[in-house]
Amino acid sequence: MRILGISCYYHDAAACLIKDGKIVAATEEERFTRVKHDISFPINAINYCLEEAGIKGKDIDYVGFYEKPLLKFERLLSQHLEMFPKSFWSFYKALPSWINEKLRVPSTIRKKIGYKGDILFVEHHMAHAASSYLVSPFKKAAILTTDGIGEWATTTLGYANGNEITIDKEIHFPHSLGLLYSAVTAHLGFKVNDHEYKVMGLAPYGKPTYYDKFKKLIRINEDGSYKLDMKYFVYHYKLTMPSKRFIKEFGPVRKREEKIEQRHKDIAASLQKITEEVLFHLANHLYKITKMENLCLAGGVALNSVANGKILRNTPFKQIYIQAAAGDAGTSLGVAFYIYNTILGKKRVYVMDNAYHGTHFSTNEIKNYLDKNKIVYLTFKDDNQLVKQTAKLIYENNVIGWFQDRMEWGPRALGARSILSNPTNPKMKEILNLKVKHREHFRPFAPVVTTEDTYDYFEADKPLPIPADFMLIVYPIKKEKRRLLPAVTHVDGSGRLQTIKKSQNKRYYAVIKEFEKLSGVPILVNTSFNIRGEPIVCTPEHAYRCMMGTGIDYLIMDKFLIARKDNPKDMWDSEKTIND
Amino acid sequence: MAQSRFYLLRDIWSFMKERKKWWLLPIAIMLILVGILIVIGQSSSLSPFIYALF
Amino acid sequence: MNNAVVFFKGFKQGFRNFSHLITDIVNFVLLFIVYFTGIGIVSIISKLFGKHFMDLKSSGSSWVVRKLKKRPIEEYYRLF
Repeated sequence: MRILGISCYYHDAAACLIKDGKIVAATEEERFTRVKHDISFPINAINYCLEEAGIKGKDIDYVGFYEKPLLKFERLLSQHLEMFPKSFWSFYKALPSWINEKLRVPSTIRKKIGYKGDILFVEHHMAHAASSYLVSPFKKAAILTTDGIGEWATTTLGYANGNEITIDKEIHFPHSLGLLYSAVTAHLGFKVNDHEYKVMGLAPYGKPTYYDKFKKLIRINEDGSYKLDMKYFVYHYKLTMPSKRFIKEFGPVRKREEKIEQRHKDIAASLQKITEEVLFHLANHLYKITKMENLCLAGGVALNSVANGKILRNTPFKQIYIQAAAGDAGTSLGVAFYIYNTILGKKRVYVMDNAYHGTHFSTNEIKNYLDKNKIVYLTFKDDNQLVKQTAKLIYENNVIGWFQDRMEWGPRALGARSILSNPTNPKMKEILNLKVKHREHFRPFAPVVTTEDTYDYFEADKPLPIPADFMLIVYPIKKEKRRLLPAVTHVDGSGRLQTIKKSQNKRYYAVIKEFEKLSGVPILVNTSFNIRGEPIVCTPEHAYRCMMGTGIDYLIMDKFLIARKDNPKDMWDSEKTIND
Repeated sequence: MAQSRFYLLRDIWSFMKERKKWWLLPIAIMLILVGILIVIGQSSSLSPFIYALF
Repeated sequence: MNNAVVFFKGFKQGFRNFSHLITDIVNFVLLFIVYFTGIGIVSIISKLFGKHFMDLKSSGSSWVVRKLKKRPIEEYYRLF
């Protein structure tokens, strides 16, 4: 039985195809269109999924959509009815897309993919809940979902047993932890729904001196719920987010080109503190009502890996699971599994313990691409040579573009479309920023470590949660090890680690172990393989173009080694065309 | 098939009836009329602003 | 001949821009009417009867109890 799940029209359009309860393919539309967080109908992602399964649209048994459009539309109209006449511009901007697209989902799906059946619509937060629980290893679990907004719900508490999921209670718009985080993101001059992770990275540079001010705008109730004081926000009727009162309290909005000052860092730190407090409060209340040991998290706020790393220490939960694409892209997966396991009642047969569900290219396809474009390359004679040579190049402080096997699902690069480099070099952060990533100075680079060595270097939870495999958890690096890892140790001594087992990615694991023989450290810098402002690379062409447009020294693509310096004809400067 | 022609109108009507949201009726009528005009006029969807949450 | 081609290309682009402008104006007018009549009338009458559509000001718990579980499959075919 084949089920296709679709999410689109808000941010991170994606598609996921499952067959008999297991993932065949899952991928985000942005990887194909090269538009970050692309919201459009994910026809490319869907076509890839169908191609991977060797089927056409008419062969799909069920198609699921990740929300209930009429409920969302009702909420939208409610906003305008409540805020009339202040909300006209917001109404004017929003309505055409509802009329043209968002209320016509069944006809759109049938027309674009040739599917003849009916579409199943699952509530947004149920899709989030399912996206975590139904692919977790748990037979029962408490479930906490938090995001910006679904139909009405922004936060839900629930539980699951076997195949059944219950959403017990929820908090409604406009009271939203996700929108609070986004409002501050906007206030700090970053892009909403795109750069919240930058605010999270900025927080350790500040002190929570604005914490008391944040307590004024979010009230945490005894019963675990929270409420925003809407006098500080305007997102419920305008196209911007913080109100004049918010600006009076926290200072003027930072323009993007303005320097980041201590005030901004302190606001970020205070926001992170209050967000964690609300999350722990919610999770503790959830434990009280469910008494379950396992916790599943989902929703955009579940991408806050700093908070995730503290949940088990601040609540009675013993184990935690967060699926790789915890945000809206993941709801396409959630709706597919919800249909299969819950609605149709089929047995759960799958646990997601790796995120390699996207596009892949055969050795021949890659070779044909290189030859057709007259790219100079070398071929490794075997895996052993590939691993040894890659580790040596990394050890020699080269920046390596690593393009192998199936592309990752979710926002993180996890060793399929990664840039790898030497974490022991104190200058590596500077080198990476200068040559490749051109990031803000405060943003850390992240480490990948072999699973069995994690506790030697990180103060991690025991047992090690699966979300660490998806780079969704931040742990402190052990004090005595920080000087060994200057490139991946954040200013507060933490690292957003990826843990990797041999069974998950043999080649990637082998390179790390080989690097350990040279350096004594089984850790690499792992950052996403992309030009700044673009999504992670998807095809060999994207990978080569990225290397040639940045300062990446070598590209290891399947068993081929391409050196940037050997191909001067294709060099170009990506910084001249950046849109970030 | 549940989503045959006019599924949207049918679902809007069912929604208003079941959830007793009769206040939606005048808006729904106006939107349907305007919707027909806009779709006929083939206006393109406006790109969402960075704060488009809707 | 070249001049004619350039002229027609420019004319086509100009006409396209004009039609987009007309579409924008028409959209604006239509949505203005919908907003101020459809939304406005309902909003004003509701406020006169003290009805609110969003919880902005109340104190106390924010929880909305749902107990949302699996429903019969036919309910999932609906857009609500």
